[in-house]
Amino acid sequence: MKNKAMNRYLKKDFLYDELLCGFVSFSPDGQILSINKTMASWVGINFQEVQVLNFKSLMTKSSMLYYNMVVDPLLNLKSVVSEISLKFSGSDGSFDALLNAESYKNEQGKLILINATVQKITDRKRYENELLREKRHAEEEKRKYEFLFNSAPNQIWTTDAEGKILTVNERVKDYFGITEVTDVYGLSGIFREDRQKYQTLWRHSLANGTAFQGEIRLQGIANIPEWFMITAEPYSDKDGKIEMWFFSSTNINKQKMLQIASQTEQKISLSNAYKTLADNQERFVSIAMNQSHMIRKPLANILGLVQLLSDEDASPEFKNLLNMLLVSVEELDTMIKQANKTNIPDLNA
Amino acid sequence: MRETSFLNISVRNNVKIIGEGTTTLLFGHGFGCDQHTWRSVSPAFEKDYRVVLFDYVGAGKSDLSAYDSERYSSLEGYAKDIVEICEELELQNVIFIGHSVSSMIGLLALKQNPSIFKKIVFIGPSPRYINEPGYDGGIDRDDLDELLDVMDSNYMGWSQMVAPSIMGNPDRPELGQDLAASFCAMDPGIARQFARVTFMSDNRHDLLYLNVPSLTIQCNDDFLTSQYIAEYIHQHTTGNEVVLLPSSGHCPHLSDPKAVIKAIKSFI
Repeated sequence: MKNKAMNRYLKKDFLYDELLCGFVSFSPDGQILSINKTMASWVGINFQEVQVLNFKSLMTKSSMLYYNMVVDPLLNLKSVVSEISLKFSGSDGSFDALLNAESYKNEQGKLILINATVQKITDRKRYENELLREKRHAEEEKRKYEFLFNSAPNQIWTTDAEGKILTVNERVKDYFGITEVTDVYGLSGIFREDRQKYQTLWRHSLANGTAFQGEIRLQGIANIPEWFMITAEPYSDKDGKIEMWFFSSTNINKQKMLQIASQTEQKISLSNAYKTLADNQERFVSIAMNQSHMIRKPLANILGLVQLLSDEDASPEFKNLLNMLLVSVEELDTMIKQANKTNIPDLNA
Repeated sequence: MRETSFLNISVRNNVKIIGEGTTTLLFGHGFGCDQHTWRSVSPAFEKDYRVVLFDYVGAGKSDLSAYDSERYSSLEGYAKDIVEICEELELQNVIFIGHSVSSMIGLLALKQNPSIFKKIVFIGPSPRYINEPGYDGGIDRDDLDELLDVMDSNYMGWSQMVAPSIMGNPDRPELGQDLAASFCAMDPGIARQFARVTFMSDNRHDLLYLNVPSLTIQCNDDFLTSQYIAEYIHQHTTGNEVVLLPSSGHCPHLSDPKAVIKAIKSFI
């Protein structure tokens, strides 16, 4: 129920002047036509004096510039602008505020008057500034990241958790002669013969969330397959869920070609060595055979002669001596045979 | 009147050629505007001159993909737009009319290619906006930082608020009524950089390169420049005339086009 005491606070004049926000009416050039007491007290200017001022003069210089450059033209374009963040000069320093305004035109379509509310947002603005600072910091970090991303000598790209390419660095673009990625899985960049190997490795990494590494040939704008060491690490979010993959590839073509060339060379030199050894063995065997034959011939003669002498009648002493000679000759023959066996290695073993 | 569009640079800068005259008038719009800013002035010259209008890259209907933040990190980059337009259209001995920051961009274009202009008209020019001891540019360095903050804090609301009105009206007939619907159409990021580049510029030493007759048109009460600055340019150049207009504001070609037309006609 309304009563007398209440009525005072419900009068329109009271409501206008004591409104919980500033309320200003002004002409298109900014001349104040009407202003409420709340606004006058916020800007700290005597109520009588403020009524003859220009609305824009109540703002800080920067806000006045912004108002002239942006808000003024906007109010010509459309009748309502809302939530414009501006700074006004106050009795104790400047204060931040949001401006909502509505413009009115005469019958000829000419702008004649603007009504505006001004809402103080000092505390909220502090929070907003905090966010703005964070945003700038994040943008700065992003710029640094992009710089690093593009200035790295390697090809770097990222994919989503499913392996679809998200971003590629300038090295990738240069190598493949592209300005943007059209092949989202990047398979067309992989040399045909290596695609299956790549897919097998990559599927394994994707399925298990483990790092990827492989020597894969890429085929870029030069159309020549080149060897690259491709690695990828999964990047997980706070909950440990893989969000994306960071790929890096380093050109190892030179090393790889050298390696392949040196492997071939080694094979050739090894087979040459085997051949030399085999040749040598043959020569050695033949020498050994010759030598043994040459030595064993006089030995066979001696053996024959000793056997002939043994058949003769002779004193037991002499026979005994012949017997010892025979044993020694046979021992010598066995030794030569054995020496032949030991000294010729069996290279086919 | 015949209207022709060319390829490449002309497409990039949304160049429009109107009129049949032999002498070319090239109009350069100011910060936050596009070629529509000349709608009340340029028609008055179409009968006797070839009128060339364009949008700087990043403004109006220019090719936004051609925006290169490195190139446009100084006014020299914008001056290059002008030089390239003149080269493509094979324009020489042009009369250049620049509003606001375009005044100094025109001067830099002349510095890059001294044979392109035979006369220059400056409307609300300033060779330096920031105050320093002994020079009253009009803006303190702190004000500029704060302005960039204001632009940032209105970044989101700005594009949301403005986009529908622009998108809904591709031909933008209502542009006839205001200065800078185009400003609002500008990408906020580009607008911020353009603001920074404009307000940080110092072209006082470039005034030496002004080797053709020039005219400065300056309003009485201008929120960006002042009669002091018009006087400064006059004193530091040769062959510069100054016309002071009684109207207030930074855009006399919109608020008082007749006076601007009259001043240009009597100068050229």
